[in-house]
Amino acid sequence: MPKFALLLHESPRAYQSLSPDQIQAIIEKYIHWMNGVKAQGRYVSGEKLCPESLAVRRGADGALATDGPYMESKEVVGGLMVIEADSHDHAVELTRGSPHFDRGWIEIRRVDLA
Amino acid sequence: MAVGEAAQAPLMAHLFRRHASTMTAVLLRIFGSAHLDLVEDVVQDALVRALEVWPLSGVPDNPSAWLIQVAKHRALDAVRRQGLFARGAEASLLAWNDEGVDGDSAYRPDACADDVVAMLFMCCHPDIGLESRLALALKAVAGLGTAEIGRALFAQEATIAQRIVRSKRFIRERGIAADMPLPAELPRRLDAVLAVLYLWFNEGYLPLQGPSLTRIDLCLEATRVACLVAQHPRTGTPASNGLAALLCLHAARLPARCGEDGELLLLRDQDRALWDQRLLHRGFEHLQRCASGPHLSRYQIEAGIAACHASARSHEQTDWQRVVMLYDQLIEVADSPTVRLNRAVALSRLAGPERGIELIEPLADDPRLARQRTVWAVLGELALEAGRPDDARRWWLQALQAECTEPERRFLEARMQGAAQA
Repeated sequence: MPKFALLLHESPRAYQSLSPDQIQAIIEKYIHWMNGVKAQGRYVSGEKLCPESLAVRRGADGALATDGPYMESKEVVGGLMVIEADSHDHAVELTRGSPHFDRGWIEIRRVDLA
Repeated sequence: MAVGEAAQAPLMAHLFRRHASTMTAVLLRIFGSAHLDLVEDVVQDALVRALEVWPLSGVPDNPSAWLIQVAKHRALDAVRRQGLFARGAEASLLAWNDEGVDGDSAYRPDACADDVVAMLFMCCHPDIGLESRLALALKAVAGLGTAEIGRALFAQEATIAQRIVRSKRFIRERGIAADMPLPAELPRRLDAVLAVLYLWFNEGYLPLQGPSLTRIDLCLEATRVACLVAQHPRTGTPASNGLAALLCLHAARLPARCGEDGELLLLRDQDRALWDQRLLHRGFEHLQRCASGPHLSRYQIEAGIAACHASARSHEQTDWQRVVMLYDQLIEVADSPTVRLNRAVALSRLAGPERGIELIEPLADDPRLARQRTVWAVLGELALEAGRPDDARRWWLQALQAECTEPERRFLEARMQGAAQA
């Protein structure tokens, strides 16, 4: 079964003005969406990522050089979800109803299993 | 994690709202009301943290404990960073029981009740205007956002925000502690709290306009908090038990107030089987505890009236004699045109509709009546009963011209049609 990684892009936003009921409602929408994916037996895993990013490279001298951590201000991959789907189209279908579109967009990458 | 992992159980209704309230109350006890803004930030941070993490990582096994843990860590950070609190703050925070309240079965609505009641007293200081008191209580104690409070009270969000800011400034400047008042102050302070709860419930019970007849949620929350106050060892006075009884008995009837299509039903047409038995039972328990005391508060008398309705097997079997007697008592304690209107309606059950009309007609022009339409609507009913359908239509038409909720409008229109066919 092909696997797909869903990269959940979002702009860091201020949630300070949301009320407790509103916060709970958003979480419930995500649960609802994920439960739908799970009910179809397509859910593999999900992880929330911290917004800070740290880049590591090997420099000319062979030593590892780090850059950051930076707090991305514009847009970050806020989360990572792996699902199973029959095809790209099917993977798109499974994102339908995701509340994530209220705060960002979803990048779909097929896991190369070949 | 295996593919096809089990579905996540739903969160308990209003879990976040409830925790916003209890966590704020606990932190206020520890930090003191001078740091109300900091406390609110800490609590909001904890809730927002859940919003960031739970959607993808999944809801933790014990959501309550998770939220409290996060709030506790944030609070400890604040203590260590700012170092401006009494030394006891850190110890108190560490002692904060973070087992929380279980997501499902073991949920205890009265967890942290003492802290919540203390916070309620802070919000409802009698020197703060009644409306500002209510706004702050709805935010801190009910855990509502300013926009939600605005919708509930039919006020602009900016107005509500302003009232809250004003209340908070008063608390800060006057050093109003988030603590139970001293014994000498308690009666006056408790009166101020009960007045807020009474208004809070009424705002939900009889909104002036808008599509929904009752905001049941608002009523139930006011009832819950009134019960906390009545159960508190220091505030369980006859008056607060009377208020708790009154609100429970009224809240118990909420499920029967509207028909299937959301249309308004008169008390006599309500299906009494729909009344919430648990709330009724609770109401009668509080009623028993409020019977003592040298003088009666309006809450006790009103609870007595609500009990007459709640214990009657049918509208006809209501003890109208006792209802009228209680309204007479109420007029002595808290006279108002609304009370007189209700008394006249009760009396008309004994003395006939004409007598009711005679007493009610002069009330219609009373400027103190907040809801003139009720008078016209009642007059219409009595006129119909008295065999004067033309007068009934005339009065209903007047009711329709006043400010109405949508269900009330539909109700009146249906009554007029019915009368025309009769």
